[in-house]
Amino acid sequence: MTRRLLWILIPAALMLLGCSGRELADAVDGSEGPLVIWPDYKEVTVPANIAPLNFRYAMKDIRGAKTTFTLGDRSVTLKGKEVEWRLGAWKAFMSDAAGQTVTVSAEAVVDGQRVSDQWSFYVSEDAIDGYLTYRLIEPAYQMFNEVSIMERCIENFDETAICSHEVTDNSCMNCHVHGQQRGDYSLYYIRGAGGGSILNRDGQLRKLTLNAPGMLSGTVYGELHPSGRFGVFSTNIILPSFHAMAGGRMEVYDSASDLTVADFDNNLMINLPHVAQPDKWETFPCFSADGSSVYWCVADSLQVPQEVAQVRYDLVRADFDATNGHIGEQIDTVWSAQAHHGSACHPKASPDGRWLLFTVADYGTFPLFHVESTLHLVDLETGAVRPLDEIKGDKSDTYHSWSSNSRWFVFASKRGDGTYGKPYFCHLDADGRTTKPFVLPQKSAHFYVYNLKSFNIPDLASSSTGMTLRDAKRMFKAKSEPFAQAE
Amino acid sequence: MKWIKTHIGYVAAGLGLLASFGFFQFAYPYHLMRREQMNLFVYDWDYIRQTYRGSGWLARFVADFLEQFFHLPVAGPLIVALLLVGIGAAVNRICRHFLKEWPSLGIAALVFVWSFLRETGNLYITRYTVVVLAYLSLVLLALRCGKGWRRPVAGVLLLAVGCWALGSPVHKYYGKAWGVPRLQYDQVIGLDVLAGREDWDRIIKMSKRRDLRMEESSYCYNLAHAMKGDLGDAMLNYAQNHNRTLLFTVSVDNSLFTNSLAGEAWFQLGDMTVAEQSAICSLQASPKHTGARFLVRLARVNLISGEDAAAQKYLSLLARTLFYRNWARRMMPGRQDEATRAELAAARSRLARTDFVHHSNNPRRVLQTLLEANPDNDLARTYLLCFDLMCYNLELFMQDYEPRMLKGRLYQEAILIWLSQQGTLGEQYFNRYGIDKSTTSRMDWFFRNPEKYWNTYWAYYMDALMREEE
Repeated sequence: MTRRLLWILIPAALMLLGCSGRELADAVDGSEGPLVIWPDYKEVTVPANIAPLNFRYAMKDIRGAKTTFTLGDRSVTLKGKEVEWRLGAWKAFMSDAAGQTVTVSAEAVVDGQRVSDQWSFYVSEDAIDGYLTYRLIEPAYQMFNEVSIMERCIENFDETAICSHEVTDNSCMNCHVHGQQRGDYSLYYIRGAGGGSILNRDGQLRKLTLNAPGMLSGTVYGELHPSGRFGVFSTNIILPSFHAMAGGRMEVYDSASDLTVADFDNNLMINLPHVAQPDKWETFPCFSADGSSVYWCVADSLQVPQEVAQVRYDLVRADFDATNGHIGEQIDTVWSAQAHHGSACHPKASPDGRWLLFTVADYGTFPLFHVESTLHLVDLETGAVRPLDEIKGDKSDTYHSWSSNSRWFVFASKRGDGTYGKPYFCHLDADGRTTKPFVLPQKSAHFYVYNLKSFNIPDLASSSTGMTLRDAKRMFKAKSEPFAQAE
Repeated sequence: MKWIKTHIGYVAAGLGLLASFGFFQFAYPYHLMRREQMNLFVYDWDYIRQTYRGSGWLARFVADFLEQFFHLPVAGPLIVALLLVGIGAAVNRICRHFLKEWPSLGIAALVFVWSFLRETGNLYITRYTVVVLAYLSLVLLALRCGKGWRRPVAGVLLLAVGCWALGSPVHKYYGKAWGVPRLQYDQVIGLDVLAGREDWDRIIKMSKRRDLRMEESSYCYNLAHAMKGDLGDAMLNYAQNHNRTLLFTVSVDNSLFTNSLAGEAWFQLGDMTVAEQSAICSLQASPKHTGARFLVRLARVNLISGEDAAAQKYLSLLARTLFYRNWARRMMPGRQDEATRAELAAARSRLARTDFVHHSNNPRRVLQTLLEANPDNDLARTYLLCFDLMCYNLELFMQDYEPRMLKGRLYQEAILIWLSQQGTLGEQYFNRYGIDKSTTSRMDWFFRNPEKYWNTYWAYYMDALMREEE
């Protein structure tokens, strides 16, 4: 009996030993105010349909924390350093919160002193699309191992895998993008042997080889046309490299890139010489909301990596003919790299046709490692462009995507730790005013401390893709449809 | 004798315990240490809830809990030996339900040997052994559950519990069916483990015992001697493969092991970018995408780079482990003492001050950049000089060489070749470059009997010339 007791007591004692003192120091990147919280949900604007905003008091020597949420005449008090809601209680609390401000008052004993704090968050009347897809991957951009594409319902904490290494012989996979924020219209890639582009069109899955003779590579970045017939893509030769200075981390650049259009109805790749010029690098294409235009980024080709700091991409636009999939030859500059001493990346048009969001870095084509990278907003009605400095973090902000009502967008930000991309949501009103972004809520207030993977290319959708691992397995084994070069 | 016969089960178990403990403790010691370095067990309920969920949660939890103790000497081999003996004992007991004593023992011994060999496999993890033992225990339990209809019902129920807590018994990720000990490879792993612990003396001691003739072992040998400041003397005492064994790149073309090792030298030199990528790639490649060793490295890289928020993330995890908590608490931004701050400041002085983009395949330029930032970075100078020498580039070597800064037998031998090429062999130049008489007379002896002086730069250089002529 004594021996059995020992077997239980020894691990238990070890657990207690390890569990003591969870917060060892104040969070370097925590909120402002007398009580530091992480994630920082102070003074943010959130949609009413968001999952509970769980957070923790990220301070050492804090105890006796009590947090009270007040909305109108009702209030909820949660005790403890981890403020974690039960889903049902949160939904009930937020049920009629849209358009109102929630006040949060908190008190705790810090270093033996009683400290109180108060803040609020505004609950927007604009709902956000309920589904977010992303790839979970370690921030090592040369290699991969055990990668998954996940879909998260952001109204709760449900997360499912759309595609996983377990069903693809540990192949790499990337770039899941929705067309027009529709769950039943999307595309992602499985790379390597047995791979292909998995097109989900009206819920029907096809495996495509989006490559044809004369192209630089298979398709890489791209977007789907509203009609469902076309996709516009870049083909890129991508090279990862290192910065010599600490903190600069990696530089990923193209040594060649072109644009191409895929015709999904006729299995054709439409390669046009004016968007595949040998002395230019064209990349990051996207459609306008109505599909009548294509936006992309273009730079003069230079010697890389020697001249990589001089590679700067313009943001340009041309007409798109949805009858034959041709990109017009008249190319207009929307944002000039030379005039602004920057490099444009990842344009994305809002679904209502009013805005276009893109990232600007000092140079290059991979702002994920550029701390200066800032989101820019183009008003497509007036042509005015403004940097969204008010929402910029201390590290890179990029890979954004819109909610279908054009009132919210999500972007991957490395703010704080500088290494792991996390999805941040931001509200945009009818006049283009933004609010303080907030990170994707998680069930555990400590989730982001333990998480050692980046949320890569977060993409919003109004409904679930409905895709499962079984579908991914079937597609991985399926024969890929070849594409031919259009005449 | 009679006692042995009546207690043959215990005797066999004792022998098995001694044999497997002895093997892992003395003949195969680094295999388990590396397993610990690729493991992380965090004492936090949130972490445990987040990490150990889904099918097989209990097996992963128990295995990770046990693996953390592999950090300690003796503990790893002892735990593994106990698990293996447990498997043998469980098989014996199961067989005894159907067979007599000796056949049962024979089968148990076979399963024990099979488990033991599997345990020696590269990338094998303790979970596999835990799962086998746990399933055998469930079978035993089912056999004890009465007779008649109760036994199959209990079996099905226990199988369901097993699938939930241990994972499917036929899952392909339960390790390879067979393993064979690779004793030499264990020594190379040992060098890597010791490099991770920065135990340079032991690396040198191990290298002296045996030339393993693998690029990774030469790399560790070079790093250890460079850290001790005598690479310029010792480099050619060990097998080298041109300049490849000096500094590794982090690249998709390399093995995971090489990529993991690559960060060690770059970290000591002051290139935090390559060191960080190496550590992240190692995390990515480790069986559970964690690893205390790599988290320690990432924390140090970020502390030195001034990325406190990132460092805090890694330190928060390490501070909740059993064996890294004290170190993590000491290094935590906001809690560092004077000595820690001084240690970090010294490391920061080695960082590059100018930037350029590279693929880590041009070490010369990186080393030059590090030296521009800090001319006192002796390690970078050592590597630069040795790199020049291994590339047979005496012109660049002479540009980089600073006689007052670094001394080394190989440097002096290289200078003598260069002086002879310039036609300036003479006392005046010997004095300028600090070449002593013993070196010049050794050169004379070398030409008389080159084979005896196989570890000189002259031999290395002459070998290249001869190959060029061929």
